Amino acid sequence: MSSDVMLQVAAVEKSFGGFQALRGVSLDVAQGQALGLVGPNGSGKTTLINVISGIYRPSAGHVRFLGRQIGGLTSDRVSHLGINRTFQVPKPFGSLTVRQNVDVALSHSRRSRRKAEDILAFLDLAAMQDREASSLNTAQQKLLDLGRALATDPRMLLVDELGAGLSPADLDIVAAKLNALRQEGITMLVVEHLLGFLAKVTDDVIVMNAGQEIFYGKLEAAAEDPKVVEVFLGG
Amino acid sequence: MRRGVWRDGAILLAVAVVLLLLPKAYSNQMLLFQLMVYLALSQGVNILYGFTGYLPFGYVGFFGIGAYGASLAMLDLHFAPLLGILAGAVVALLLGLLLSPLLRLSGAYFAIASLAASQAVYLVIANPSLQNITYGPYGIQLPNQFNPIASYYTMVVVLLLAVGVVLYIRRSRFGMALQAMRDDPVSAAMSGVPVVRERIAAWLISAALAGVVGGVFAWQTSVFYPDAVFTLSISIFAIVFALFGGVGTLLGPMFGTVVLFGMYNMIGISDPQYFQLIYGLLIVALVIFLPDGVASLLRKKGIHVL
Ligand SMILES: Nc1ncnc2c1ncn2[C@@H]1O[C@H](COP(=O)(O)OP(=O)(O)O)[C@@H](O)[C@H]1O
Ligand SMILES: [Mg+2]
Repeated sequence: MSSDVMLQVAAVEKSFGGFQALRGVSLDVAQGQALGLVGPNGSGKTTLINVISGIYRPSAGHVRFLGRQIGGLTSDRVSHLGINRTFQVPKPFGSLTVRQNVDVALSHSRRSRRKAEDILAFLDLAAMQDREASSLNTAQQKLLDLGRALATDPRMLLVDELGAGLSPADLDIVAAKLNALRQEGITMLVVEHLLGFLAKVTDDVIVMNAGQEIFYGKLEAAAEDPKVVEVFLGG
Repeated sequence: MRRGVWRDGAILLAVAVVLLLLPKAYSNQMLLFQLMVYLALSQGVNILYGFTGYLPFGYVGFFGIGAYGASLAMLDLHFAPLLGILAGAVVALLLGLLLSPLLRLSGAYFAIASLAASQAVYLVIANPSLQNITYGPYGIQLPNQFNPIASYYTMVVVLLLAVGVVLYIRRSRFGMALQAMRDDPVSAAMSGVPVVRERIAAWLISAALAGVVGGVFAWQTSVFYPDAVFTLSISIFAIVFALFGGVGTLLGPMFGTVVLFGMYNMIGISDPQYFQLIYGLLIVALVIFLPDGVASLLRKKGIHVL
């Protein structure tokens, strides 16, 4: 383990009742890295993000962020430490305006040096800042989700299928935005089905299947790995 | 922001003027007092349900324990009425703290558990074997404290306080966090909102308010049985008044209270049990079909209710 590891997930397990959604997942994300995470539906990607972001307590194993044990902390504390995320199905505050959605996070952040105007402009949401969030379409809600996460001024961003459902043109725009955030120094773990999108924003990828890591390396190499090929193409 | 503070001040002043002039225009002071009790209690429900989504069927428990806390402080500790009322509020606050784990329950379970808790408090207080402490099933008498004028104006102040609290919550970071939590607690937590703490804060504010109102009620009435301050219909009324007008607003619960309490007094006095039933059913209908009350109908027409 090198000294610039930002997030360390070690042998994490998560069960729901009798069902084991994570069966001993270990991974490191280095400072400044953008790590991709792929795998078939139900392989545990969202569950892993939920454990890291404090929504679920791990059944076993450790999560460390900047050397500090965070597994089992509540989401608000995880957020204060500098981890934030988007949701696969966006979760805006529907009855609040777009601007208020960002303000809630800004006003509760212990870190933020960001401004609501900048965040909304960056995400092309400035023109609709006074609209109720529930009136936005899914693509806009996903961006707002990202905006709410950015308002906490995260050091690390967990991105859960931000690309799903976006048009090819929007995909390019979102990929460019993630890259811009990375230029600012935000470390990322990016879950994505769309490999073209992933290739634009990440360096290495992890492939998961049935709650376990089956591959770590370059995206191109994953396509030639027999275990990965079997999971995606085999029965 | 600045303009908002002036506007809130103007609202408070207007409410104060109306409350102070009402007794001159309408001579049934007893009824006006009850109206104020429900105006305040429906704001308490508003704070809890309107800003957190928790429906407290046991809300009357805080009212009752406040009435008893105040009365026992006056009877046994010889507190002056205002100090006694404060003591009642503290007791309600402590009960709220004790019951705060109920907030871990979701929706319907919370509603039922809070109801059960209020009934448990009632059974303890009305228990004949605790008569030495609680005065048991025969209730409370405060003959030396009876002062309808002073207790009336104390209620005016308490109601203004309730209105002030709701106005403050609506504009504060705290209120915005509560609304965010109501929409999506997971997102709110991820935004850095300490969800459990904020929810408990709203619960305690709402509990203390009901406790104060209960204390003033005890003072005004001076003689009451335990049933009078623990009856489920107090919860039902406060909830239906708040829901009907529209929670999350200031004026909605006030409107709901004036209309539905007025209706109750015009036609319901002779057969109150029917009203408990009708208003109970109305709660169900409102929760299902019109969760944000009359205020939401106006909002659809572009009229923003304060
Ligand atoms: N809260 C939960 N309760 C029960 N099962 C769950 C829960 N969350 C996820 N699962 C199960 O865990 C497995 C992994 O789900 P998930 O992490 O959402 O997969 P992915 O994001 O890779 O598609 C699935 O079988 C899913 O049904
Ligand atoms: Mg998923």
